[in-house]
Amino acid sequence: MSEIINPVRKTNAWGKEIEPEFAARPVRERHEARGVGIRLTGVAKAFGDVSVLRGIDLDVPAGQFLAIVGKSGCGKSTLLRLLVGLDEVTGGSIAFLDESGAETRPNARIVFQEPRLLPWDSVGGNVAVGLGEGGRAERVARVTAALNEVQLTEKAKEWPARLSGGQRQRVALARALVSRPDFLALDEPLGALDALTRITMQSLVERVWREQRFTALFVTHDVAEAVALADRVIVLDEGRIVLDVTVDHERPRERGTADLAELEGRLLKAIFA
Amino acid sequence: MTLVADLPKQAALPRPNFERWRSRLGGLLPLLLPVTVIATWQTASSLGLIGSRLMPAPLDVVYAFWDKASSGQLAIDVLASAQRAISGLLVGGSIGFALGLANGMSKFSYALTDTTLQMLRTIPNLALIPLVILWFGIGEEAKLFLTALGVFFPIYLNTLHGVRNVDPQLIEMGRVYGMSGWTLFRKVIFPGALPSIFVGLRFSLGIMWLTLIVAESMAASAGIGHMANQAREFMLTDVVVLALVIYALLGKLADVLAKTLESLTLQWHPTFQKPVKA
Repeated sequence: MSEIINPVRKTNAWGKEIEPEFAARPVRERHEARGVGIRLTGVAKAFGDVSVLRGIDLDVPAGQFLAIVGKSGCGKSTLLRLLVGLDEVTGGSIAFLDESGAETRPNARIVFQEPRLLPWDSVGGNVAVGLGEGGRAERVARVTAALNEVQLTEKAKEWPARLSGGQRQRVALARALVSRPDFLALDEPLGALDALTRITMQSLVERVWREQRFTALFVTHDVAEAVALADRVIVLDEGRIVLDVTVDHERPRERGTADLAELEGRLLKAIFA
Repeated sequence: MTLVADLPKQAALPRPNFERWRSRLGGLLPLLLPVTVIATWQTASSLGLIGSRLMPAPLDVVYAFWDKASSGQLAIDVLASAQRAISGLLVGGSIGFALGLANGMSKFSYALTDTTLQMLRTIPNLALIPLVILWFGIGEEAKLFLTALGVFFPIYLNTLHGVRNVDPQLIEMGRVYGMSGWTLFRKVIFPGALPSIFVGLRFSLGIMWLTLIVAESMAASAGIGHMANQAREFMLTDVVVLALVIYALLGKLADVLAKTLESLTLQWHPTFQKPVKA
């Protein structure tokens, strides 16, 4: 019973009809969490005299889809950079926990707002970057599998310059997924895409998360997007968590329902409070 | 209804013909100017308007070419010049490339050497000839030194520029994805700097021939410069002009080679991609 045939209506999280390519495949839903848990205690970050994060306490259970929203400059991207190790904390601590609650090193991956593909490498070569160095035969199979996940298998030998913006971001997603991460950080990954491509990309992100159940941290400035995708949304303002809400609606979610709209309103109010 | 059906046909008809003529003429267009100049020159010489002492007729240059080529002397001279050019390029180019990489990636190396190199760069390398003659005499070493020095700076500057201008977002991505050291260099920094390195290479090829011409007229027992110098002593203007033509051809050949290498290694670059047929 783990297979849920999602696309009978062929609609996405917002109730709009989506590209058949993503809807056509059933989601092989995975119920048990696979990701790592994350525990932040009093995390602070300052750049010189400017304090960006001021004491963040946060417990993220394994496999949770957490969205962080907030105005630009609220510290949400900084928090994400701390979590993937791109920056060092100036106070507090970050711990990654396995099932037994012991500290562990996560296999963390990040998807940036820009695809950041190597223009001199093929699409397949770019996805292989996510694997690091290692055995050749297995690489090809895993790259193909990851490209299949984002429905770009036939573009494996193409140069990134030949792809559309949405396709490039799908390659970036495949590069992040190819090593089967247990923690995936997404830094406004859909921010640079047009509205229609965003919709298909959102259902793609939701699909891979449902199939793999890694811990996901999704930074966005789009409250509707956060509500459509996440299990839990936190609002950051001036380096502090000002709101922390759980969204336990069934997936895939229909956009525009009254209670989701009400939730969006609450989040927006917290952001601009 | 007929209006809608006819429109695309009318619009489509004149295009293909026009395109075909354009591409046919386009191929010949670069040749138009040189052919006209040579034809005028030949006519003027034949009519006696230009004295052959000052400027030989184009046909005389062709005869001189035939004469030199059939005696085998031309091949010896071209080979000697090409050998000097290539060894100068290899020595100066590889030092410039290595220093460019080092200074692009290491702040220490940059702080240590860049100011000195920038100062040396402002000295025209041919101004060093008197000093070079004192150091190396007038043999092969002097020619190699001058050519290598001339080639060094464009390659150094453009390699440095290329390395420093690799997209920092890509470098950050590489680090997040576990690259460091040699892997980061091979996968991100070097390919990112390559377009700029090629600009340096093509620049330095021009300087390479320029330096060589001057260096070969210093003193040499073979080489195109030697051929031209000897011809000047005997007032053989046709051979002097022949030497110039050969320099031009060699320069063009080197540029074409560099361009081919560039388009082979930079296939990913939008500039070198063939347009996709929709």
